[in-house]
Amino acid sequence: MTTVIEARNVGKAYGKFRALQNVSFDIPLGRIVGLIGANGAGKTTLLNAILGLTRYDGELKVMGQNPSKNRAKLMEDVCFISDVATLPRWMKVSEVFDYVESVHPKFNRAIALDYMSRTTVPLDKKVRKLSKGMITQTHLAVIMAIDAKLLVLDEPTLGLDIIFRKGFYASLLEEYYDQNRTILVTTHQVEEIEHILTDAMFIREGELVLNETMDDLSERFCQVFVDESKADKARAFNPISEQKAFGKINFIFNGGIKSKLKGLGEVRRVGLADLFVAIMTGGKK
Amino acid sequence: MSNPVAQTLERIKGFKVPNIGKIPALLKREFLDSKTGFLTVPLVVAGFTLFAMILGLISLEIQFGDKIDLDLRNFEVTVDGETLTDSDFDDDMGKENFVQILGRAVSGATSAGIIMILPFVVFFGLLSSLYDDRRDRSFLFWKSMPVSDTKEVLTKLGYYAIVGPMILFGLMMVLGFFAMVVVTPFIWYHGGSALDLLWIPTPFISMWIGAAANFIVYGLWLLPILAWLMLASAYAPKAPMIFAIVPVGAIITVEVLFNNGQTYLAVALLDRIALDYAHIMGDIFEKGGHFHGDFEIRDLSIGDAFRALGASITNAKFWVGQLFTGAFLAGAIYLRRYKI
Repeated sequence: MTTVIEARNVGKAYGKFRALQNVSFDIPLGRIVGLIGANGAGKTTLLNAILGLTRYDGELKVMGQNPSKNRAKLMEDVCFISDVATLPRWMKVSEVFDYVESVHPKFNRAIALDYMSRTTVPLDKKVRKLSKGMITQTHLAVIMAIDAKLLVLDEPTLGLDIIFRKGFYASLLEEYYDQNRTILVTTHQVEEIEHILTDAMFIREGELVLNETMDDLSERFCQVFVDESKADKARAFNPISEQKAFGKINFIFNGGIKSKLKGLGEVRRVGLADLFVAIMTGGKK
Repeated sequence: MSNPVAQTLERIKGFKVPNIGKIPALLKREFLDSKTGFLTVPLVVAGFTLFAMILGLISLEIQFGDKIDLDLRNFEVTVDGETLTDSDFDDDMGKENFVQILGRAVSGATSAGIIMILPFVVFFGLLSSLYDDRRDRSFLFWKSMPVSDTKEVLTKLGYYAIVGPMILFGLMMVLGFFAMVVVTPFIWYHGGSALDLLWIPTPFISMWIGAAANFIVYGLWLLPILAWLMLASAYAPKAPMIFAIVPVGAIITVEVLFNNGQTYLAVALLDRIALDYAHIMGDIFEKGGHFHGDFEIRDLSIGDAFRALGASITNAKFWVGQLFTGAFLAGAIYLRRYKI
């Protein structure tokens, strides 16, 4: 299996503040990986290192290249959207396509125009005249028309309404993603991307605290809503989190012990957002 | 998009051609970004200039038409019925000289407005060249394209030092042409032949090409200053102009305060901007036997540009400046690469 990103002890310090430390992982081709962390946890720093936008310590290989040294070459196989609405505001939409067509060897204008034809974005308007949602659609058209191996998305839908957000991820999944592409995405709207992820990575204070496939996660973690009378029984199985809700207590368990928990109540899959909160707050509440 | 000529050469001989394929696209992007300064504003200025010129000529005719009679066929001026003779004029103002001056004065004077725009457009354009896209975050889009930071920075410099000014020189040539068109009926009205007096004696294309070529050489002298502006633009967290000017002002102030009022930096800047190049051009004019003596118009030629280039690259001060250019550009490229 081809490895798209190989990280070994990647670190980054700003003065005394360590934004990233000892981050190691491999991401193979054909995955959709969610990088999830609180504000300031180091998500963007890690993505910037992967994209060659910042210097770092340790070893990092993206598509076999050193991103810090070969960003230009790397960008033939890697696309990214960092932040919302980064398209140059003084350009017309058609000029954006002209530019990408003239500098990117793997850009197919017909694909971009096909996607645009299904939106209401006017090609002859300047980007500054477009709504935030339209700018994102234009950027998505650029991305989808580039035959890249890795797509990195850093909060690509921040500030957009729910319809645009849903449409964005639906387009990515239906028209872009296949077994020969990897998508690495961060967002605060974890619930919205959960169903498309194949893998999840949790990052806390610059350290990677979890890196697993979604299948393994739903195997390992589960939640049970338990009546107060059975709470002590539940606590005996060492839950990683407990929270009162609707007169019951919601326990989250780690360690593939679903079968043992059946007598306590209905055993359910844990949502990624709940799991994230449980692991990050790291204790009983 | 790769260059088809380069592709063919590679196929035939296994020949490696330096990849300039993306540079035209990058230059086009700079042009689109700076269109207001290099096209819209100069066009507006040109329009006003022509309009003012037409208005001026007409009002002169109305005001002095019945007092002064200008006969351009016999080259005579009659004021209140009295014809002026040659002795009434300075020697320099005979017909021979008049025809040399007329076209150049008309196109030169009308272009003055455009040439005055140039330093401002280049100065502010370079200051924002590596700053504006950081401020509005669009540099993240540029960086998602397979274009190296070195190529980005060097293309921007090339655009503001050469390509942009050449656009303005092109506009000046066109404006000069229209200015001559405007003067043509005025000459006819006074009985003269516009062909003999204006169009034949004025090499209106070659003189602008010559001036443009010489401007490029002058631009090479300015490179350290242009590169400094780019460094400030790449570094500034805000207000790049302050970061470009304050350090220079501070060094000059410290020099003046602690060095008995002497300042090397201010002198070096003045030499750079004007005096060194002026010396070179002075030498060229003297060797050409023109600058002194008889009144004669001397257009700048492409030959002069090559002579100025030769004199520049054999000048030690020129190269000392280019060391600074290199250092400032290296700094700008480094910041462009790693500053988020």
